[in-house]
Amino acid sequence: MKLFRKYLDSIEPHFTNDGKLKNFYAMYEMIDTFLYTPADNTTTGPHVRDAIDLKRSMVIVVLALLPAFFFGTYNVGLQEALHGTGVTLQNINFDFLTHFLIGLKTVLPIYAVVFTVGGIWEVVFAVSRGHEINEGFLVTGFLIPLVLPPAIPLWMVAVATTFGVVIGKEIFGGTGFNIFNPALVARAFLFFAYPGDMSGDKVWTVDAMSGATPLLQASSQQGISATALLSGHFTWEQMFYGFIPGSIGETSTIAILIGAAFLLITGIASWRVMVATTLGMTLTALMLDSFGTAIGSTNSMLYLPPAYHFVMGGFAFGMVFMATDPVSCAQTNRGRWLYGLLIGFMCVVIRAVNPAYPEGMMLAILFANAFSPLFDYFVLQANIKRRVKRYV
Amino acid sequence: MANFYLKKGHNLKITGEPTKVLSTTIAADKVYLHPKDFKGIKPKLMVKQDDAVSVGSPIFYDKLNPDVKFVSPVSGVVSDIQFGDRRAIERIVITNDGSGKSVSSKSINIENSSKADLLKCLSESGLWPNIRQRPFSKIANPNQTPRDIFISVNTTAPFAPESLFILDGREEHFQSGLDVLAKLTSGIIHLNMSESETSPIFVNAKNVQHNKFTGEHPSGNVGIQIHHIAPIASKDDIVWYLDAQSVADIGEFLNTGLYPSHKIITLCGSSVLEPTYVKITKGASIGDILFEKLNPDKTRIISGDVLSGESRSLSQGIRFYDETISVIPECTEREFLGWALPGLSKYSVSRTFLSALLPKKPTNLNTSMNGSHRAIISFGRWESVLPMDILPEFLIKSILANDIEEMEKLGIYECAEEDFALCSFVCQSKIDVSGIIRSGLLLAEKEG
Repeated sequence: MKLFRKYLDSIEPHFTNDGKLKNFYAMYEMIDTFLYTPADNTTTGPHVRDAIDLKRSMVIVVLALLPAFFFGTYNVGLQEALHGTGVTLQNINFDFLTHFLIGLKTVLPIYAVVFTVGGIWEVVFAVSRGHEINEGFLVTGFLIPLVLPPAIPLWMVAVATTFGVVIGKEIFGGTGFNIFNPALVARAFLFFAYPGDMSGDKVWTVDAMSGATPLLQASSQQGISATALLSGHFTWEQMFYGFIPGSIGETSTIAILIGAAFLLITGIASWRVMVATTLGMTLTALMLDSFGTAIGSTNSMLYLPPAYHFVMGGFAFGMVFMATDPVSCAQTNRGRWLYGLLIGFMCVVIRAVNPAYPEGMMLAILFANAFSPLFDYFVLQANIKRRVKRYV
Repeated sequence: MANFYLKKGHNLKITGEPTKVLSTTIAADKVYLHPKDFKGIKPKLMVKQDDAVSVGSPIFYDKLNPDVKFVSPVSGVVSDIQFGDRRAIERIVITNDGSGKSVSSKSINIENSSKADLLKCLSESGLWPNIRQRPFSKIANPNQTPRDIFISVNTTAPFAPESLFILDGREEHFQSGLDVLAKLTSGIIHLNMSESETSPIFVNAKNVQHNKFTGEHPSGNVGIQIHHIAPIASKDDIVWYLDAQSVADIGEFLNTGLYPSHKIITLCGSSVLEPTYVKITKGASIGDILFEKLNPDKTRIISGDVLSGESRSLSQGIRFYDETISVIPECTEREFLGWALPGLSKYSVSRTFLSALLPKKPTNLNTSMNGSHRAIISFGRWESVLPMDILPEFLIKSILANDIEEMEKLGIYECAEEDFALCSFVCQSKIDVSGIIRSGLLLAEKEG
């Protein structure tokens, strides 16, 4: 350990003041503060500081993503095996390690591409702007693969990551200034640029085999209830535990909820956003159900119960890891309630009413991201009015 | 009587708590006056080097308010006057001859005195600077009449002295001080205490409204209390405030005619050997105060508490308004892979370290920043320690954007940097929230 420290101290002069590599100080700083806590001391009050920093905050989010990552990778292997002849969920061997290792063969290259491409962009922008390399990408980079279908071509991953990091974040000024969640921007880019590969049967083209996602299944036919459409293919329990096709990290609601519990206990994610999103989804689903009955609609998705919405598609993943992004969500506590309600509402409405996109969560969050400054504006004006009233 | 329950805040649990014992009075060989301790004045010297002075002799005055005098707390000789840039007075050094010779004026019957008499007497006495105003936390202007006057005897800052303890034996003077203040405003004298307060000196105090506050730091800060009792509406909505010892000082001066030249402070922090309460001469050098009480390791000496105090050297005096000297270790170590460790011994208000599962016990904190500066990201940490109906993030952003109109709407005049010190403490992006508030107040005062 001492040796590292000595080495880092010995090369530091190259990166500071008139050193030859001073333009690359951001890279030195990244490695230096990754290995050792920063050398900065306070100069003015407060002379002591809380132990938390942004690195720690981001590491907590990555830790919360691990259950979804491990299960998702395992599920990729499992789904691949399910496409073998005569293999069903009833007779398959659920052995974790076997499927996990097979899944890793698909997932690891995606991670490698995301972190290489995204990392290069981070360094390019940090060096050209002369600021530190931000930990925010750690989370974005960990999120992007989890919202992608496992069969995605790697070049698409590279393009999407570029779009997410550059257009989603850096053009606004980097972490803390972006208005949309960069990982979602990456996913939305793929969704609109290569729609054929993002929805429909092609999603699961693993070794030329395919399978529809539950959302697609549930919305596949008119005149039959969504749960009936699902019943032959997926049970609620399967969707809750995650033994279903879907984006890598999104399938297992239970794994996501374990991460959610960790985020709430550590206080990193806003519980208000999670509660409001669930509430918005539940109310909207119930509302659409009675609305559908009233007009006698044959749209199966109108009648999907909230419990199904919760475990299907990207709802849980989006709510826990995307909607709670502290940068792109509403900045006031009251605003966060409205923001969450809007996400829940939009998600169900898009799923049920829009025939083109069976998955509504991604668009719902991006939509609410765009609205969050407006919610904050209302909260701000209310605060100003309330305080003026108290002045005598 | 009004009760306030504040849910937000945090009491720092750090080592070096002073024992509630008053150690022997510290002899001051020299005292230091730093005109820069006072905000918003233009000091003009009234003495030259080698002049002889007594306790209570005027040393300089404020050109903006020539009545307001700043006096010597000891008798002796002006041994040095140092100037900084543009001949601003850095410090005035007075060598103490130890005789305690004092300028004495007649004691005054408070009840029969007019407001004008009292104002003149206080301005001349050198006690006037103890009375400060909000907004801007500067010395009160004797030509203005405050809407109300606020006194907090419920100090919650880390290791701030307990008001009851430091007023022991000065109960009468304290009440006299309150009587004087009552004559200076047509408004209310608010005496703010903790909910559990039972001591007669406070609960039986006359001429005041009693307010009780429950909550963690900064609920004892007068700025937070003003916000909850009667908030400051604008730049011209002036209220005054002062601390408990100053109230007793004012009472004592009018009762005896002598300038009270001592004050009780706490010496605390993990780098102080035997932290206690001590009685010092006002303006005593920190070197004298800490003589043989300092841990020889590398330390940070702070005049004031660890959250809102100012770093000082041994050859400077304690700041005029401070009642605490804190000494903590300077951080010199860098931890390997610090961000990834479970953190069983880390001190954090957040629950991101394993230490959150253990009972909170006093921790030895040093001056490490524990991270590096990043963009503002709202995890809601600032809000969690700010018991005010103010949106800190939007206020800070409006200050950074120099948007005075927005700052005013968001309540900049209700703010003081000390009330936001905890926001800086808990911030994961290490934003200097209190420093930004200070610059916002400066801008609003100049151009608002």
